[in-house]
Amino acid sequence: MSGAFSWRRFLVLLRKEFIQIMGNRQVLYILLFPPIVQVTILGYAMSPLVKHLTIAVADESKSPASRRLIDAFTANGVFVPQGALDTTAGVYRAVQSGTVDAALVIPADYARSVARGAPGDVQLVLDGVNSFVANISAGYAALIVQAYNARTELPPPLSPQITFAYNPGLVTAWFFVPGLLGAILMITGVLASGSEGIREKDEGTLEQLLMTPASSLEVLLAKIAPLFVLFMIALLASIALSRLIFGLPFRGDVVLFMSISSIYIVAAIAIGMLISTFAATQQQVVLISLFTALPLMMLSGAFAPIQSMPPFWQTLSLINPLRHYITIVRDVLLKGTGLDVIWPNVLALLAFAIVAMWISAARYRSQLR
Amino acid sequence: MNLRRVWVQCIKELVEFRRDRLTVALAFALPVAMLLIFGLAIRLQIKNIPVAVQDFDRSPFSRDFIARIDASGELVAIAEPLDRSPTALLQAGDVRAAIVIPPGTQRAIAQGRPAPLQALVDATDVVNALTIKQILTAASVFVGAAYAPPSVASYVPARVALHERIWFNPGGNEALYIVPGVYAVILALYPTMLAAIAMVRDKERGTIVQAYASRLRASELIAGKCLALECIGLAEAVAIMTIGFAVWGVRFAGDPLPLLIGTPLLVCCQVLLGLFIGAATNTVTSAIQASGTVNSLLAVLLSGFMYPVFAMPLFFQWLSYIVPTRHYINITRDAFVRGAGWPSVWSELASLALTALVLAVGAWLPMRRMQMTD
Repeated sequence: MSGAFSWRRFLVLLRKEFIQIMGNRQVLYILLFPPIVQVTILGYAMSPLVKHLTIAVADESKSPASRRLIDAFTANGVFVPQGALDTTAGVYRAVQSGTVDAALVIPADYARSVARGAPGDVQLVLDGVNSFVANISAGYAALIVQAYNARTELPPPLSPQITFAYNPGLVTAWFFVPGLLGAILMITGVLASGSEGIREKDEGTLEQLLMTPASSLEVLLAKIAPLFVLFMIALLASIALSRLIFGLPFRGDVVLFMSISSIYIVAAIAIGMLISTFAATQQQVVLISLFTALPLMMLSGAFAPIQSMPPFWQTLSLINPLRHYITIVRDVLLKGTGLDVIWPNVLALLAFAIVAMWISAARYRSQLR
Repeated sequence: MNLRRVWVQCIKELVEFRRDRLTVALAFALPVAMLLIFGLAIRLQIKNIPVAVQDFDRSPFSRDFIARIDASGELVAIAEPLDRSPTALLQAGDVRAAIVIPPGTQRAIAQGRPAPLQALVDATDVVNALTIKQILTAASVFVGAAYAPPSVASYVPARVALHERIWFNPGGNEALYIVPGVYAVILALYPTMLAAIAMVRDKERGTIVQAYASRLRASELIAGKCLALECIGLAEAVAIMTIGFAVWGVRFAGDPLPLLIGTPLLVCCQVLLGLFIGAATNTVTSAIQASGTVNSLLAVLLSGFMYPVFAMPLFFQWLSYIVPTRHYINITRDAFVRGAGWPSVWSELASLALTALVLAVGAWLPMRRMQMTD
């Protein structure tokens, strides 16, 4: 069982693992389906932008001036009016019961005070149950009113020229796809390699492998290789699909990107293998995998911004391979960044992959003995 | 349906569940860990976005402008050396926007000429980019007005004074928004997974043949397993809601009755979904991966937990109506934050009940013959 690494034995083992994986339709489906289909569907569906908020308007003033204000409020698609010309009590009730997200109350004396040249007081009530949306929509409302107030023949005193770099069309999928790609590769990678790692133990064939002259390194590498190939295929397919569907750019170096992705995939597979050495059954593998992968996903910046987290969690996220990978994917794909900028992330990823692989190889070996 | 057989099946499931210590531990450790991470770490509110400012003007205006940006709390202005190009600053990735205040900006404003203030914004993160734009626009109008000649600035009478009020959570306490949502996500993920395991495990071990050979009917098998997992799911619910109360002080805002009815209903939906997945797959791994990956992303991302449903494409908004979590999230947020009670949530409860019914049939169909598949 000891001895030098033998390519012949390795190739035989490799063939066995490939046949086993390819023979299992369900596993194939589970390896390839999430990265390809979920990335594109969720990339399309997920939108962090605040728009189409329903707003109930109580126009007690019923004047041309108040109608102009309502038009200004509902012109740009952030607020969509619902049940206009309600009473004040009616719109309050609507917010209270959650049927609308906001209410605009224009008091009866609005037109009169505007005509007098005094500012007309207008009330905006926002449903704070979703505090994230409430804050953003409050910002929009302030801008709408600001623009409405400033609407004169004269130009505003200062209007900055704002240019959006890298994603001028503000396509949200360009932001989400890298995050989803990283997250889904992580969770499927850990789950799949974990259950591959435990299969021999579960089926009782581990002893048979133990009796062959193959070294543990050969066994482990042969187990990893087919998964690695499948994940690389899934990665390429989902990037190609995202390019087709969302026009996701690929501005950086392809070779650089693929080599970093392979480090990342090895890291995910290593985590899974490590988990499989701790667990006794398939079920435990899967539960421990989720226990590990979900926090990694949540604290990665894929869905929630890292700079908004409390400092402790920001520091903690530095050891998260997913965080580094997502930063790299966004930089390389969208900004065309090279190694000169992303090297700290690459280094962190590499260190993580090596350490995880080393520990899991050591544990796998002791398991074989 | 023979209730005794249902009961026995339920007891059998619970005994089997209890025997696997690690699974029992994880069934509670996973939800609690998720609750703690979301409640303590995840903040959707944007703050501390680093932006570079290159101030060529060095005037009272530029200083006021920078101070105004900084005061927003959302942006952090970082003074950058003037010889680096904005593009290079963004490329290096340390800042999300580069603002250039060219020489003579204050003079241009004072003379009523268009001032060439420029900003290059990294739009990789779209929400960040829009926030930056919002703050820059607001700051330029506000600070610009102070330096503009009277003919431009003070001649514009404010026609509207907007008074904003944020109801239910006026302090913008994010835990109060996140935690009730996490309850829903947790109760969507874990009971489903445990149910899928419970269903497929017998198949994988081959012990399902014994059930097939017995007089047990498919409806009794499903009802028994469903009952057992309902108990586990409700125990999880009690655990996380107790922790939510202890750590963040999340308490009932109104009538708790809709939540007390809705929680068993949601758990029932999720358990039935899990049983369906278990019935449709053949191995524990594929069952859990199917329920874990598909359900987790649907429950987390298409339920309105993080991003509002109404911002999604129309098709997905319709699709989200059949996601039980979406309905339950409205129930938890109402119970713990809004407190409006029945009038605002009765339709959510009805939807959950309907979904449970559909899923019960869905789980029963593949099992109804109580026969081996080929």
